[in-house]
Amino acid sequence: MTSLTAAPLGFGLGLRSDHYAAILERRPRLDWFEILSENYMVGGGPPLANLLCIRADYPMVMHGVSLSIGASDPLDENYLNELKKLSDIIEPKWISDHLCWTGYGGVNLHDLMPLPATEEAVRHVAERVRRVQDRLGRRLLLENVSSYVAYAQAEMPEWQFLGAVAEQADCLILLDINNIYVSAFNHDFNALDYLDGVPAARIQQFHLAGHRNYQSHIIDTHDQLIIDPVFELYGEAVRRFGPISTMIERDDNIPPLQELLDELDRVRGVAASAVRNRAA
Amino acid sequence: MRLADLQRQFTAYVLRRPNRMLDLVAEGGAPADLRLGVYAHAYGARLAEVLANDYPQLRSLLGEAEFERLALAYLAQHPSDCFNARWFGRHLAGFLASAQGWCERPELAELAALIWAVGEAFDAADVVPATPADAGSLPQAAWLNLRLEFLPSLRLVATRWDVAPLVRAAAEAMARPRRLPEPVLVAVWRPHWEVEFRVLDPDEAVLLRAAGEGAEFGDLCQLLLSSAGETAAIARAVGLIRLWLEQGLIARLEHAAPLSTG
Repeated sequence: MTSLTAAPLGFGLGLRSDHYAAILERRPRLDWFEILSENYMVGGGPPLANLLCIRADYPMVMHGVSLSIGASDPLDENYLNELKKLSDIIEPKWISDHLCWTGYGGVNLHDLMPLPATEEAVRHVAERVRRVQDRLGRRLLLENVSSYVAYAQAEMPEWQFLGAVAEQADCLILLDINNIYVSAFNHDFNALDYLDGVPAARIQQFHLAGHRNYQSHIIDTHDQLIIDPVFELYGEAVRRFGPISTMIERDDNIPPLQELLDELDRVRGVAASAVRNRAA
Repeated sequence: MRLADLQRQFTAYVLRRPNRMLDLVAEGGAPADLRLGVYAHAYGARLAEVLANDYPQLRSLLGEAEFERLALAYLAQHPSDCFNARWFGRHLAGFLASAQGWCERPELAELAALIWAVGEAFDAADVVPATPADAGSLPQAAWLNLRLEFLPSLRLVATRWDVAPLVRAAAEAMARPRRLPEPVLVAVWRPHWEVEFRVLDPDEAVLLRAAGEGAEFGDLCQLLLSSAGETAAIARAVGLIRLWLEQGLIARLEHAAPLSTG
């Protein structure tokens, strides 16, 4: 039986403009980069030129925040054109976005708004994912988002919702381990139930990141180090799903590249240990 | 509730318009208004940050509190309607020029327009500029019908206030610009990786605008004839084209093939 997912890429980082010079100068030892697709949907200029230089040396994947796959507004044809154009240039290993909506009635909220876990939403999103996949000529990866509200009308737990969309759309999953941790705290569920409930065969990438804990709730800020409980949850994920391609997202309070490389070494260590446990 | 209705309610909540969102949130954990407030707060904060990043000089000129007031007023009038926050601030100059409380300070709209033009030039398509050598190799007969194709990054911004120096001024050196004796045109372009801009001389502004609209070399010389003799007009037009080539404003020199004399 052939696998749905691509061969693992190893351990990567999100490519950020603060690090262009250090990467081009040092060509650091890491396996791949994830780029934010929207940052490069421009005619030209230094960021795109830097991206192409770095692309020559590293595999890349494209990660978007604006597909708004769960919106009730029509799919944005302009966005899809730009996504396809960038993908033709970058030739990424894969393309991902979020299981969310980002606006309504032409207004863009620039946030990853949670979807209600309903059968209606499953059908709606799956149909749109299939159209996007036809357009891109490849399977899309959908990521679970951090959320701060749950809806009274939910008909199933989030992991079941994610799994149902992935199965109906025949798409893949980008599992954000930090987002599971954040949402488990905010909505008081067991994060391990999440890991046990998602379709393993469709998981192609992991995200790791830091967050801020305000005691009453956690906000997914991507501006801190990954905390120990998220590392532990990551170890559980690797033990269940194997050495999936993993990267660190850092979007604010961005440290020097070396600090992220050091943090990535810790990720490698946790993964190696979990893989050993898996084999034992 | 249908998905579209839920999204309409949530969007209204974030935009602080009437909504029923509090009834739609599951109970448990932190209070519903606190949870929903995370999204409403993030929307305003994120877009205010985008504006601050896009218009740092305007922020320095206004100060933090005044800039925040501007961001809120702008956001209320222009909810984001584009998928890329990069373009959220594109209406700011127009807003400053027309909104009460801001239009009384016209230098702000001009500064915003110039900053935005610099940002657009930064992201414009990359084209290697033509060089003076390209003009040197033109046959004499090609000059009369010569047209100039400018870089995609070229923007022309008209200003009545001396805002151009503020774009590169240090934050602590920001001060209200003086009103200029005559309006000027500022050219903004990116010959390679750095964005350039400068105030054009009055006759240069007329010629650059005309050339950008497709005027041929002969037409450009005609435009100069009212203030100069024929020889001087031709020399000035040639001199300006050479300057634009040296400074990397021109992408290509276009001309009709010379007629055969055989």
